[in-house]
Order: sequence, then structure tokens, then C-alpha cells
Amino acid sequence: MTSKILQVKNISKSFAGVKALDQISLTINEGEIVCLVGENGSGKSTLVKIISGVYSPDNGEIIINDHSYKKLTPIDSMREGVQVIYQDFSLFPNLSVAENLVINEHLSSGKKFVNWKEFDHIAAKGLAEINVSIPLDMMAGDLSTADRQLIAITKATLAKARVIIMDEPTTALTQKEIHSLFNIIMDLKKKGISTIFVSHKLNEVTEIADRTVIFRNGKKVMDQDAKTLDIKTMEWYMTGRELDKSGIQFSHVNQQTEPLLEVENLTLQGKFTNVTFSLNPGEVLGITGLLGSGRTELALSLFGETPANSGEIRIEGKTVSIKSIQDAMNNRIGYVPEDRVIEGLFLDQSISDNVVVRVINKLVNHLHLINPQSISQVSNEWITRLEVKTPNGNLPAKSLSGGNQQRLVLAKWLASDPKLLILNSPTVGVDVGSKASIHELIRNLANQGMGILIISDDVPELMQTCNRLILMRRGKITNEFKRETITEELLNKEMVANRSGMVQ
Amino acid sequence: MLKKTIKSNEFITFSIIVLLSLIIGIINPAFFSLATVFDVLRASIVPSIMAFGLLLVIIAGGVDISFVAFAALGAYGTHMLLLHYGYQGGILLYYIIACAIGLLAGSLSGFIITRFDVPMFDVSLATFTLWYGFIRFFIGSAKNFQIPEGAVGYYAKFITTVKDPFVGEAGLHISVIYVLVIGVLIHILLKYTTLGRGIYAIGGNKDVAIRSGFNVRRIILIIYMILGVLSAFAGVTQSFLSRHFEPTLFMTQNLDVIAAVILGGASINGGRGSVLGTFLGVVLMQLINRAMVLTGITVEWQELVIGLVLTIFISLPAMRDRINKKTRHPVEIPDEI
Amino acid sequence: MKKMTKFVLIAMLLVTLLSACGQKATDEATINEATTDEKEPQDLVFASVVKSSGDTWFIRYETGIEQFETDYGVKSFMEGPSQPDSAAQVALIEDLIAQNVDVIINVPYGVAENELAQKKAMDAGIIVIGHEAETANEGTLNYDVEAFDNCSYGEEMMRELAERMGEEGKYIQFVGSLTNASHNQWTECARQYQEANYPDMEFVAKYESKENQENAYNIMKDVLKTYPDIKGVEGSDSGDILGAGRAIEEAGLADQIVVVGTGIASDAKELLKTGAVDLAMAWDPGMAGYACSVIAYKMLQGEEIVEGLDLNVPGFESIRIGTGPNGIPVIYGSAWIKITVETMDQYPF
Repeated sequence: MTSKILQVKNISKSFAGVKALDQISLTINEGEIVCLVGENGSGKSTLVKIISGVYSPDNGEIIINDHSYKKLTPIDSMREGVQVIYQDFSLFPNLSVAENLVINEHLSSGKKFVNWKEFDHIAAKGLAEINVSIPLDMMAGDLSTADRQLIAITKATLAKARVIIMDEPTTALTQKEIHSLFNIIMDLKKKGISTIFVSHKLNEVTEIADRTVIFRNGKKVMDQDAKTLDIKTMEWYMTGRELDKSGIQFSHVNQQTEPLLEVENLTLQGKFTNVTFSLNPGEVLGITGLLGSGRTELALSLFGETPANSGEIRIEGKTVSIKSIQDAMNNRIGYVPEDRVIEGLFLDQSISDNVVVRVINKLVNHLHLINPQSISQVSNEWITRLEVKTPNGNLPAKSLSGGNQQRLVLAKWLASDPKLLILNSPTVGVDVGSKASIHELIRNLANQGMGILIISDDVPELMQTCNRLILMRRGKITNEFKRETITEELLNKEMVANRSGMVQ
Repeated sequence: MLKKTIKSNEFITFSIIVLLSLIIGIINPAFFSLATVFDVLRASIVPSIMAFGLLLVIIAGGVDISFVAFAALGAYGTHMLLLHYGYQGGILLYYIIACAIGLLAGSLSGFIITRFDVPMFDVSLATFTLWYGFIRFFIGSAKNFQIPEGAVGYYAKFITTVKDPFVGEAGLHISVIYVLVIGVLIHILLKYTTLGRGIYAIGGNKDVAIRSGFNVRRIILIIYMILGVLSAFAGVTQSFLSRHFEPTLFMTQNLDVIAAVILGGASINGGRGSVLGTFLGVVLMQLINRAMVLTGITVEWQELVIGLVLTIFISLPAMRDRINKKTRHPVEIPDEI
Repeated sequence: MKKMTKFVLIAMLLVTLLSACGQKATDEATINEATTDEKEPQDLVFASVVKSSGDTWFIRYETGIEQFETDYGVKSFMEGPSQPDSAAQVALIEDLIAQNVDVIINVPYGVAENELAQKKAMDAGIIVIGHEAETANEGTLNYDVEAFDNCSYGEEMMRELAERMGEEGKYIQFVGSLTNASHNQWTECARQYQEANYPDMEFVAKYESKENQENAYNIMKDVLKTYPDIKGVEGSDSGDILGAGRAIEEAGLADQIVVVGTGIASDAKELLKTGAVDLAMAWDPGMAGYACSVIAYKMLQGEEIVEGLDLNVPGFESIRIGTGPNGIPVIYGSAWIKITVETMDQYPF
């Protein structure tokens, strides 16, 4: 018998006249895993903020544990057992695991003094309850992402959460870590704790959800048992259009021309050995494999960040030495990093400045002073070409949504006119609609003759963009596939075959 | 446990102190004496008291340069006021009035910081000049050597004295007790109170601290109240130790105190630091300064040598952090072994 | 919110500036009225810039400036940074040039750092007189006025130190800063005089107190440890003998160690009484300021400055004119005073 823990009824919320939520009603039952999906701006995060008491709704009603609220404060929400796990996990990097786990509880108790023994005791109990063992005296900042997430979840359970809301929880996790996260969510379910799982990754949604709720433009457009939903239907409801996947037109790669990039016996001690492959102009080559397979390290070596120990790299037939990022840039190699926030963008700088940062020394006048006109000219060109959605190039980069930030990183590299572009997980944290258009963009670039390397473990993504695929394992290339001869299922199988050989 | 102690910032600072003492002592054996200990402690009293206040600001992720002005305002202001009324009593009233003045000045800074959301450093830039200007314009600009009768001889109130073969008589000044008491109080505040943990939390991640329910504004206001009181307290102590009151007290010493807090292992980015470390940092700073005369390095080289030594010592905790981070960072498990 | 921040900061700055320039505003009004070259005395503006306006030393200096104002019926005032700071002095001089004062009397913290500003003032037609700036380069001062010839002062100080030390034993010297020319000249001449006349005395080291007596105090304590047989201390900055004296007194060594140096009665009184400081030597900064002003006044009146001229100021009854090491004309008085526990009450500064 299920009982309703949380109900929202006819909730609406507008910002400056724009309806972010329109008459939303939703019910969460005890121990239920509900996936909330929708593109950026569809209203799902607004709803999360209303449930957690950050925003108050314009009208409607929230009922938690049979208590009805016109609006909630964060304190009300927490007291009723709603816990949100944000993407930053809301941890203090400089405090111990134990303190992070217990501090909220301690604060709400209103106690003026701290009893460390009690802290350790409560924390140990909390971790034991979800079968996790992390040293209590470690600083949270020294933990891996997955461990920090576990701490955040434990923190929620310690706060007697009845509903845990997870915002994009799998973004920074490896396949294995996602698996253990799902196990924990299932454990929580057994304890009667409900989970609202906000995600872009539809394959994960199908794996974990009991029920799927889809938002589009502030409206709930779908709310049904997850078992009866397939990815294609979900995409249709999210975007309002059918994403064309089958009819991808791959450009004809001219095999006769000289390869753009040839890599021979490239080795970086402890990371990858004897990697040999080539890439033609106009070709998109996917490099895949599990985390630790050496794929990212290979990309970084090609970009000069961690130069290889031995082997040869040839660009258009000429042997080049890539010992630094500067070398790579001089050879017109571009690299779009995985974590655009950390590595790719100056978030507080303007969008325009971000676009031109790689080419700034070319945009000077005869006095060697920077010419603001050329800057806006170049940046506007790329903002238009890559459809970066912004009212004004002078706004800071952090004002953009995830997908648009990723476009901006691309724009930054394209402005420097690379011949070879290396993309590391180009659509992590990007919603479905944006994802499709970034894929389209990648193919267009290839069609114009650029050589593109994509490092990714997102199988559908690889299938949609790559002409050829290389599978890496333990630092070696184990397999190579042509796009025409492989299907999504087969590739998935290959990767699973890899995984099943793993010693746990 | 032992390993943890060895890796701690306090231990590193302590080791440097021991090392430096050995070097100085080998060059000048007269350094190894109880008199030296008393001297270094006496010179550390006042900077320690200020450093304890500043420590709270730095843990909370701020930096302040105006605390020296709180000290000057508290000490000089109190003195000129009491002088005006012909006060001839003891030191206690000085402490009470000065601490009240420090509390007000600190609260004003705290208010501006929290009310208008201005970074602590920015506010301190302004109040530093404001208070020294205020003293000169409204209180006075001359040094004053008139010590009230009840407090004459305070500078020589020793807990115990030793007859040193070299130095003559050396005493352990009673104000060392202040350092001990204030140090213990601040330590308890930081380690065992919710308020103290809030200070660390703010330094670790201010947004999360707000989200977790810490009253960040109130905490910062309290930090500044404490800073104001401790600075003024230090100002009065210094003035009685040096037997005169000056309007520009400590004006050029704020950076030394900041350096001492950092030497003691506090992170300038906030979130980390301890009372013991800070005290050791102050002692180390004193040692570095004094090593010059004791080792006979000529005056022309002094600043360069101090600068070099500081640069090395300041980088040590940071280097330790990098090494620790590398070794402690969880290793990604490869997909096959 | 940003605007508010700015507003608060600006408001604070204004308060600070007002406190620093309150005096100046009234002076400016006077200056602007003076336009013709042939000014009546009441239209003449004499500005003094000093190392540090809060210093007791310069507060006495200011009394001389004020006395001069009363006696000669001109406008005369003093400015200075609250802490010794050459850059702040330069800024003050720039301001005074802009105000078109008639005379600037500068007591530079760092002689070299102030030269350019002084030259600029001279180029603007302002008479620039220096004090304690003997080493200035030619063309950067009209005259430098010294209470005495630095070397004679240093030698006199050494004679006093030696006499009290019984002409034997180790001694150290303090200077306020290594860039202070006068301090360095006093100590150098004193040392040379010692080497020539007192072979049983031994120079040990020279220390920089950074014009902060707490530094002198700490250095002295370490000196006691490092050179336990130290017998004499010579101070240059007025805080040197106070800091050193305190350290010596607290170590109970007031009777064993002789402390002689520049200092003034009001500051050194207590330590003179206990014997921690044996002799403070000084010149009356008020009289020096007065003498500087008289020289400038005579120049404005077109009088010639000649050897033996009587400025009508105690210690400056018969001036001597020499040339500084870098070419500027220097006027010397013989205006030093010796302050001991017996004589200290005669000197009200």
C-alpha cells in the first residue's frame, strides 16, 4: 500500500511575466522513485525550488505529510523531510566528513556547543545505514566526487529525509559509480524514502525510475509509469519534435587524401601504450572506453598537456613534437575540455572576451593595442554561427545555460581556426535538445574539412557523430569499428564485455 | 595519530621554530637561555592577541588591515580621555574603556560588511585610514608619556624573573597570562562552539553556510566585535609595556601580524587555521626578526634576508598541502587489475 | 548594492581627507587672493612639510613656525604625513605647488626621494628651504639650513659618550633609517672621531630602528644577549635612546650602560630620571624651523645671505655657509643643546 508523502496542486509561478510553471500538480508516494525530466528552462528546477522552499509559488498548494502549505520556507521544507542534493553537494571542503554529516542537524537543534564524540557517533551510524565506509576524519574536499555525493545523501538521510531530490546526480560520475548510486537509491526506496531524480540522461531514467514526469515550457506534459515509456517517446515529449537520428548524413571521407593526423606507437608511461591510429580531414573519430582506459589521457597528450613519452605524431605527413599546449595550438589543434566550467571558460568574463581569448593577439591594431571593434566583430560572428543564445555578448559567460556554455567553448576554439578539434565528452550536462544541435554542429564542422576526435562514453552520442570508433581498454586500442558496421546495441555489448572482465 | 600530528601545520611551524632556534643558537650560544624565552614571549604577547582576532577573520575567508587602527583608537583614545579627567588609577579602567571603543569600531566595520555585502578587506582599507585620520583630527597627534600613577611600573610586573649571566635581569611579563587566557577562549570558541564551526563553514563555502542555516551576517558581525575588542586590548597592553601612548600605534605592523597568522598555517583563502598555529606563527615571526641581531647579520642585509626567509616559510605549508593532496586524493580504480 | 558600496567607501575617503586637509582649506582661500608678485607680508605664505606631523619633535617645530608667523606677520603653517613617508611628502609638495605658496620648507624623510618635487617647486618660482637635507643635489634646494654641521654634532656626541664610558669599552650605534643622511653622517663622524681619539673604545655594529622605538627596544634586548659586554649606545632617531633605554632599564643595567643620543626632554624625562638614558642631545626644532623661515623671508625681501649673518634666532647669531656634499649651499648654526636629568626642565619640548 502506498501513501502520498508529497503533493503539489495547481502550482504556478511567474518570473517577470514569464510563466515558469503553469498549473502543475504532482504526487510523490512513499518509497517511489520519480524521474523529473525536461529541457533547460522547462520548469523542473523551479518546481524543485518551490518544494524546497526557496521560491514561493504564485498560487496553488503544497501538501507534505498531510500538512497543507500555501508556501514553504526552507526550514518548513526540511522539517517535513524534504532534502535537496544540489550538484555542488553543499559540503564544506575544509570540514571533516563527520562534521559535514551532522552540522545541519546540530544547527537545527539550536545547541551552542559542539560535542565531537556525539558527532562521530551520529555520522558513523548514518554511514553504516547506507552501507558506506568513508573515514570520518577525512576532509570533505579531499574526497572523490562520488564519495562527496554519498556524504550528501547520508546527510539527507540523517536529517530524516522522506523525499530526497537529486539534481543531475550522475553528471560527474563514472559508470561504476552511477551503478552504486542506483543501488543506494534502491536501498532508500526499501526504507520508504522517496527520490525525485532530476536528469537529462534518459537511459538512466529508464533504468531507475518508477515513474517519469516530463516538463516542457512550464507544463507537465507526461506523467506515467516508467516501464511503459521508451526513450524515443520521452524525447518527443521533452522537445516537442522527433529527434532525427537514423537519417544522419555522414560526409564522404576521402580516403585518398593524406591523413590529417597520424599517431604511431604513442606511449605515456602508466596511461596508454603503443597507440596507433589515423584521422582524415572531414572525419569524426570517436575514442571510447571506460574511465581509466586511457582515453582522456590520450587526448591530453595530443593536446600537449601531458606530453607522451614516446611514439610519433604526424600532422599532414609532417612529424611534429607536441610538448606543450602552445605546441598543440601552433599546430592548430584545439581541445574542448570535459568540464567546461573549470577548464574551458572564464565564467565572470564576458561572452565576447571568452570567444576571442585564444586569438586576442591577432586582434590588435598597428599600435599593438587591442581593438574592441574587431573583438565584437569576431565574437558576434561566432555567437551567430554557433547559435549561442544570449541577448548580448557583453554578458558574463556564467549567464548562459549549460548547453550554451558548451557552444561558447566550441566557439572559443573555432575562432582560432583549428584543423584538428579534440572534444572530450562534449555534451555532458547538456539537455537533449541542445545535445542534438551540438551533434549537428560537430558534423557540419567535419563536413567543412575539419578533423574531429570525440572522447566519450555516451554510446548514442558516438553513434550519432562518428564515422569511425576506437575502443580503448587498459591503455590500449582493443577494437576499431566503422560506423556502418556497428549498431548501438553492439557497441553497448562491446563495452559491457569490457566491463564484465573487470575484477571488482 | 602520530602521522597526523607530524603532517599538521602546527607541527611544521613548530619544527621551523626549533630549526631556526638551533641555527641561531649555534651561531650565538647566548641565545639558549631562559631570558631569550622570556624576551621572545614578551615580544609575542601583543601581536598574538591581535593575531587571535585576525585569525577569526582569516578563517572566515577575509583579510583585514584595519585592526591596528582599532588598537590605536582604543589605546590612544582611552588614554587622552582619561588624561583629560586626570585619572590616576590602575590599568583596569583603561582595558574596559578601550575594549568598549574597540567593540564599537569593530561593530561598525562588521555592520558595513554585513549590511552592504562589502568584502572585509575593502572595508578595512577604508576604516584603516578612517580611524587613524579620526585620531589625528579629533583626539591628538602627539605621543604622550604621562602614565597614570596607578599604572606606573606595569611594564615591569613579572611573574618570575631570572638573573641571566649575559642580559642582567629578565622577567616573564604577567601579560603572558592574557595570551594564554585569550588563546584558550578563542580555541574553545573555534573548536567547541556552533559559532566557531560557523566561522570555519563560512570560510569553507559561504553559500553553503547560508544554505545550511548559519546566520552568516551575525557570525561576521561577532567576528568583528571580537577583533575590535582584542585589538584595543592589545593596544592598551602595548602602550603600557612601552610606557607611552602614540596616535600612530601599530600603523605599520598590520602586515607582520597577517604574515604571522599565515605562517601559523591559516589559509589566506579561508577555512583553515588554529590558535596554537597562530601563536607559533607569531613566535616564528619574532624569531625571524630577531635572528638578525643575534646572528650578526649586518643591517644592510636585514630586509632582504627577512623577506627571503618569509618567502620560503610562507610557501612551506602550501607545498605541504600540494603533496598531501596528491597522496590523499582517492586513486581512480582502473577497470582491470 | 555595488553603488552603495562605492558610496560608503567614498564617504569614508572624504572623511579621511577632510581630517587630513581641514587646515589646508582655509589656507587655500588666502593663497588664491594673493596674485601680485610684490606681496605685502600678510599675503606671503610659508609652508613647512615635515617627515611626520604627529611626532613630538615636529610639534615643537610647529611652535617655531607659528612664532615666526606672529613675529613677521606672514601666513605660515606645517603639514606632514602621519607616519614618516617620502611618497606622502612628495604628494604634499605637489599640492603646495598647485596652491602657489611663496615658500616651502621641507624636512625630507628620504632626501633623494624628495628632490624632484623640490626642484619642481623651485621651477615654479617657490623658494625651497631644506632642513636635515644637506646631501641634496645641487639645484634641488635654495638653501639647506642645519642647526649645526652634522659632523661636529656627531663628534660632540662621541665626546659625551666617551667621557661617560671612561673612554673604553664596546658601543653600538642606532640610525633611524639607513637612508637618513644626517643620522648616517652623525654616526660616521662619531665613529671616525672615536677611532682617532679613543683607541680603547670598540665599535660593534650599527642598527636601523626604522624610527620605531619598539624596534629599538627589541634590537637592544638582542644586543644585550649578543654583546653582553656592551658599554655604550649612541642613538640617532629620537626614539632610539628611548627604546634602547627601556630595554636596558628593564634588564637592570641602567648603571652599566651609557646611552647618549638625539632626543628631547619631554619624551626622555622618565628614562633620564632613572639613569637608563644618560644624555639626550638635540637642537630646538622650533628654532630650526624659525631659522629656515627667516632665511626664506630674507630672500623674499632680496637680502643677501652671507657668512656671519645674524638671524636673530638663538644658536643662529652668526651663521656659517658651506656647501653640501652634492653641491647645495648649506647654512649652519651652532644650535645644539644637551639635556641631562639636571637640565631637562629648562627645555619645554
